[in-house]
Amino acid sequence: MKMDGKIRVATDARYKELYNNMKSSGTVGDFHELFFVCACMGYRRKKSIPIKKRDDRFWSSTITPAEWACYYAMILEQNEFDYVKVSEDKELLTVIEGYANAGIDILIEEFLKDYLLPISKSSDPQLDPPCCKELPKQFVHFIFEQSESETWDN
Amino acid sequence: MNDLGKTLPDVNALIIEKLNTYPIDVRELAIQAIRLSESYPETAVAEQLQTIVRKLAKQQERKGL
Amino acid sequence: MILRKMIVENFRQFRGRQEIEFLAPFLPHHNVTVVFGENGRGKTGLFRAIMFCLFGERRLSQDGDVPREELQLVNVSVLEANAGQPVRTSVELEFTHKGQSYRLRRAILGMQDGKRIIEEEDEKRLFVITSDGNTKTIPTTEIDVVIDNILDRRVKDYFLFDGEKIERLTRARIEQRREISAGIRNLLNVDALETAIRAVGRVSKELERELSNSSHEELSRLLKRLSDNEEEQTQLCKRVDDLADEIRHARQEVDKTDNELNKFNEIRHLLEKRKSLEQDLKDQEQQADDALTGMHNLVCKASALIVSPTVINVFEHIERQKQKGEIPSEIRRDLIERILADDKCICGRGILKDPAAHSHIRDWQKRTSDVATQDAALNLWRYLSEVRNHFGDDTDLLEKRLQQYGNIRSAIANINRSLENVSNQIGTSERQDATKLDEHRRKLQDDIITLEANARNAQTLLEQLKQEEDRLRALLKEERLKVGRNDELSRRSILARDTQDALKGVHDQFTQEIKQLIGHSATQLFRKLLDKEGRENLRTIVVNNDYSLQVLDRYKKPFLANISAGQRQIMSISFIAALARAASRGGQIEIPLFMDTPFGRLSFEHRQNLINHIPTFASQWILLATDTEFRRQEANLLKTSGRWGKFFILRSTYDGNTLIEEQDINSALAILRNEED
Repeated sequence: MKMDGKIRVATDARYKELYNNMKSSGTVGDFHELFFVCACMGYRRKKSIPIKKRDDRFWSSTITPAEWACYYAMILEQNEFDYVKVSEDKELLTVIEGYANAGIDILIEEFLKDYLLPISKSSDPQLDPPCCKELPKQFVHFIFEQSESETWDN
Repeated sequence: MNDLGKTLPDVNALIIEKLNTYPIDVRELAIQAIRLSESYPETAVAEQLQTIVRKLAKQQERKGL
Repeated sequence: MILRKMIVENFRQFRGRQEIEFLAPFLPHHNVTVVFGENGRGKTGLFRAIMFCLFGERRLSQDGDVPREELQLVNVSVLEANAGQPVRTSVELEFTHKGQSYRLRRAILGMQDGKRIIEEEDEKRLFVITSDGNTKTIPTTEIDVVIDNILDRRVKDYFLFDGEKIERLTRARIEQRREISAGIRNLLNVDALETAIRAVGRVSKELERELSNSSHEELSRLLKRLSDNEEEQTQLCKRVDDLADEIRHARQEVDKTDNELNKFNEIRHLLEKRKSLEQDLKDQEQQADDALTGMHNLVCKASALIVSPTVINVFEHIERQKQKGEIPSEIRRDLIERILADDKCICGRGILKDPAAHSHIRDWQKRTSDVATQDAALNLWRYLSEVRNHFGDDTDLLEKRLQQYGNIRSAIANINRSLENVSNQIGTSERQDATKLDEHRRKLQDDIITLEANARNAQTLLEQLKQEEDRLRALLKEERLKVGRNDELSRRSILARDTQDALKGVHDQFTQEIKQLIGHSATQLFRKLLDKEGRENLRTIVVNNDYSLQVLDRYKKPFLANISAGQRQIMSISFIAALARAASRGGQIEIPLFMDTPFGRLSFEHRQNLINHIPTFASQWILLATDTEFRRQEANLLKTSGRWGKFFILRSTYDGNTLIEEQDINSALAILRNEED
């Protein structure tokens, strides 16, 4: 649990543009924030999807101590408090990447799809700028609602 | 009837009456100008007056004025 | 001229055939007709009908620069009902003049052509009813001459006294002076004299030009200077006229702007409210934008709440481990491993012989972790503690910020609804902002001040040039005499010039006499119409050399600036009546006097005097009045005077037209308002 800052954290390549849009629209301040949201969403729903086409997104040095703490907590809980599982940050983040990959799918399906350009099979998801004026507030509202929801997917 | 009634009926006659205080040739030319102006436009009156002025000036010369 | 009856057909807002009888046949002394109606009902339209019938004219002096298209005469609703067919509009007038009866009829045909209306002359007929009852038709070509002999068209506007004319006449502005000057000139009928002056002037100028080409150097020089002076004067006169026109246009524009601003007074508070709402909207939208910008700061806090159960669970687990002494371990792991390796406790007892003790130590071994892990776990516990501690505050913060944003958006929605409501009340979007109208008006006023200053300067310069001209003429006269009487060209030139001076002198003298006579006539009327207080102090009306009006007090001092609005109005009425009397060739005013809302600012005593005196010096008085002007008090006065002949009410119909309804005078009191109403 060293909070190693030299690790490259990746997402699936098809979400590269979406990550850029979410940052440029001011909905999130930086990539690690969106990653954190997605990881929390994926973990909460107990869903993990391996990345098909890995694409480095950001350095682990941008991850905040609070986010690290949450990641460690998720892995410890998942592994019955086996501290060995949280000793290697790189392996830990690889697991978290799976949760984040599932989380972004959930995010798109349950919230972001109304703000995206029409997605075709060949194109990657992108925000539709004219629809995004209120997105920052709606995003926070959605996340807050998720936290208040009593259901946990098992 | 007030003075306005006396003044207005024949304006030109009154004007001519007022010219009595002026020298005879001036009076003559003025009266001719007014009479012509009752019937003709300005340019036509001016043309005719040229002749009258010449005639009156010659009369003045003959009288030694 | 006494009007008997008028029949209008499809004329302006008078739809169909309608009749108004001004004078009952056997009551010649009942020479007052009251036409009663609210503004816009057609009171001035009746005067317009008479002027159209008499002279074929559709424009009154009050129309100013109103385009001809807006002065159409044919009734629009009839045109529309006739869908493409021409409509006849006519006015027929029966009147008497110097014992002779006349019937005059004039008609036009009006037709809709796309968006515009075309009107063409259709009929013009004049009949004279002779004393033996026969009717004689006047040839069409002679009708205008006959009518002009009865009433010179140049003076027709003196017989309509409208409130505005009455109000503005006593202002000493250039356009009022021109109006008075034009009025007096029209009265004098000195066309021939003025033509003669100009014609002689031409001759004189031509002779002077010939003379200036002669060998007499000084004479040539003087003539040249005189010619230049005259040219400058001509230019300046034109400039003065142009400035007067500009001032008049600017004033009309100010009036137009004032009308627009008056409409604005009704909605000014709504405009201010709208402005305030727009500012509120701007502020709220700014707050909304700021709130949105700060939202991303809440993302991580909200996300942590998603996994709050995990955070709490892990924190509590470590907490329990701490409480149990597992983290940090109460017994060091390396000590336990040494004990197990040596099979010997620290007290020296062998542990293999005691299976329970051995098992216990094994358990310790399992529970303990290495130092690095314990340190990391403790650090994690600290971080998780901090995250966990913030959950409550973060939840509150999120709720608060989301609520705040929601409130701002609600406020924006409410403001937009209010704005829409206010805008609907304000009306069409074509209305200009009152502020812009105010600015425009201020600019116009500034322009007027500048123009008036320029006009005064030009006038001063003109006077200086005139003085210079007189001086030059004097020098010229001397020089001519020096040149010699035997020079024929000189003699002709002198004669022409002297004759022009003589004619101008007579013209000025004549005009001066008329001004004095009109002043005198106006003063006579003025003193009859004034109230008691006015009569004590105000003595004489004077027409100044510059054609402005003045009133002198008992000390013969100018007093116009100090008189009340009502006295000013009486002064204007007296002056216009004096002109009307002069146009009627003195004595009784022989043309019907139309007074359009003359009572506006007048006290009861003034009104009483008007009602008592005007019917005595006018052969016919047609009073056009609104309900605020003509009340029971005025009606009683008229009835008492014994002069009131006819009473008509102009009523509006459902389709925007006007109906002329005769009412019995005795029932007028029931219809009219009381002073207290």
